[in-house]
Amino acid sequence: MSTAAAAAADFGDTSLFTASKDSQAIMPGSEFFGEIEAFLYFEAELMDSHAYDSWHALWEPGGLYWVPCNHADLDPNQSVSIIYEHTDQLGDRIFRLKDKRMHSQSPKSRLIRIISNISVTTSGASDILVFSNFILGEARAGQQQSLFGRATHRLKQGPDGFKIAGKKVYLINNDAPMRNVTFLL
Amino acid sequence: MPDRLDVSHSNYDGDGLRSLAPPGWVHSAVYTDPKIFDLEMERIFHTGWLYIGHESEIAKTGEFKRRQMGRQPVIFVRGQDGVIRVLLNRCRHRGAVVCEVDEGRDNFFRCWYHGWTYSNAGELVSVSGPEGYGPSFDARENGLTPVPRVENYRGFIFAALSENVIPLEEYLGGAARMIDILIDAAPGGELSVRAGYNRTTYKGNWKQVGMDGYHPLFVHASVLATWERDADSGHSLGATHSANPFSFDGISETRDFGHGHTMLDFREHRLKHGGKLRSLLENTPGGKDYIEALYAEHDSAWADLLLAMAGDPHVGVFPNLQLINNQIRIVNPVSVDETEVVMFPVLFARASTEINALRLRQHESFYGPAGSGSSDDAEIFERVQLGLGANLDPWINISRGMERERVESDGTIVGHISDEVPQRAQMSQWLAMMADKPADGRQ
Repeated sequence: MSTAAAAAADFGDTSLFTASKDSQAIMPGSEFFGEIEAFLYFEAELMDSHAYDSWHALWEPGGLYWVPCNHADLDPNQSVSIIYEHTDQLGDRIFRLKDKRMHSQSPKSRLIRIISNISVTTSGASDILVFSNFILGEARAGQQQSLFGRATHRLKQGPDGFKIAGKKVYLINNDAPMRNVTFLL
Repeated sequence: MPDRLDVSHSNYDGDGLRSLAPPGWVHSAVYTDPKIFDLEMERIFHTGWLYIGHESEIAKTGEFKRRQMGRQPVIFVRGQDGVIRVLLNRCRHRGAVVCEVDEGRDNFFRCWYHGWTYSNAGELVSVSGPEGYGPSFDARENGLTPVPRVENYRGFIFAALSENVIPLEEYLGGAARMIDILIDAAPGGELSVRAGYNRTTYKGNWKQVGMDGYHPLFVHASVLATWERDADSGHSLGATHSANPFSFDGISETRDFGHGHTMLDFREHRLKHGGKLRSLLENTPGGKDYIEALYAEHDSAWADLLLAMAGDPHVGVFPNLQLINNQIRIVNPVSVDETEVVMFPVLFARASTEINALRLRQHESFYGPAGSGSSDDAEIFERVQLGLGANLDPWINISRGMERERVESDGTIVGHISDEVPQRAQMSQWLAMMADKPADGRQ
């Protein structure tokens, strides 16, 4: 059976991005908070520098990459998203980003993102939910655009560091006419 | 190639406009001159039929959506009386928009400049300080201005700002039966256009969003490579495109139904290669019921076609509507070199959640600002707009297939999938509306 129908079983698994009741806030300034902060900056650097494979390697298999459309939060079973991909479809996105015939990234966008307003909660040792705001500037082919958004990361702590089990990116202009956003968000 | 035509001093009378589009050619001014764009607004978008929305978007009384008819902001609304109307979004007093949000549900539209209030049927129901207006003031004459013509083709609502348009079904002609390929693919014919939309924009002329079967092998080469790598890629959107329907020796066709309505006609190709889509559906929860419903509701030949086509007519209705894959698409010209494309994924009201979720996932994989296909289309449209600046050689070549197209008995022009039959159809209707003397005697 195709991966499409198999994936259908977990369509709408957006509870990933909601803190569980027993979760606890991690205080800024703590060592653990610093590690999370460093991870977000590291991920941002990979995205800004188009290090596609390294970024893809940060993902937990089966992880969900979600960029909702029109609102901050909607049921993706019933409403269209800008991106709603599990890691296998994300593999196609990475494949195309590396393909010279992906015209919308020829030339590549030059990207800078600033990440701030980070907050972290955990539930148990390995289940981490991170909220952050970002400003992303894109310059490409003589044009420039600025994107503003809020990212939610569901991270797992494993033997070789943090892995992304889910990432939701809410762009505040997601109900407005948008230019291409074919770089990593 | 025609001689270079310097249009910098052209006044664009009928002959001037016709000289921009000799058979097989288009002058780049048609895509780049703001004066042409102004004429298009008046003669095409402020005159003829435009697609406004689907009735399911405003299924409940009081539901409304903001839409655009050329430069006219309008409200697409179902009144308390259940009637669908298209009203100018402009207060009859001093002109402010009375609907400031994209969508919602309400009993009234209120202008917050001076408090004039209208019902959701457009009637003026309240004027602040009414004693300030004399006895000649008649509220009944001061409702929101209705768009004069509104007609419904099986749930697809079209409107025209001129009274003097031919009936909608006559305008749609042979394209109507192709719209049925989407409608009938929904059990009970019940579409649900309530899943939101992707809005994209590019810096290029609106006419570039045509129906083109020549570009996919090049513009979408990276996507086709993912489909070749894994046939299930893109949630099997490629299942409807299996065996390369765009190949130069393939059996897919392009069609011109008249009035600028066109189709990338994959019917024969998909009937031949449609088995994969059927097995995808059979393996999706609710899929067997869905297939059974199609065969219960339609004769088996039509049901075979509906299933092979997956509700995708791939048809364009001039000037602003396209039905492509799982979406209804509205093209909004913003200026001569800026266009907005709004993509509404269409769900089937009586199909399973899984089938509808699959339709959404297929749509997102290719369309929208981060989709694999739309984004490369937008990039190429921008490259075209840049290239057209080189107007020392102003001619665009749309002649492909002119010597091998054929005309069917009903007048439909048919070419190979890679032929520019749709581009010529678009220009033919463009000329008819822009340069020919219209039936209603306008200049």
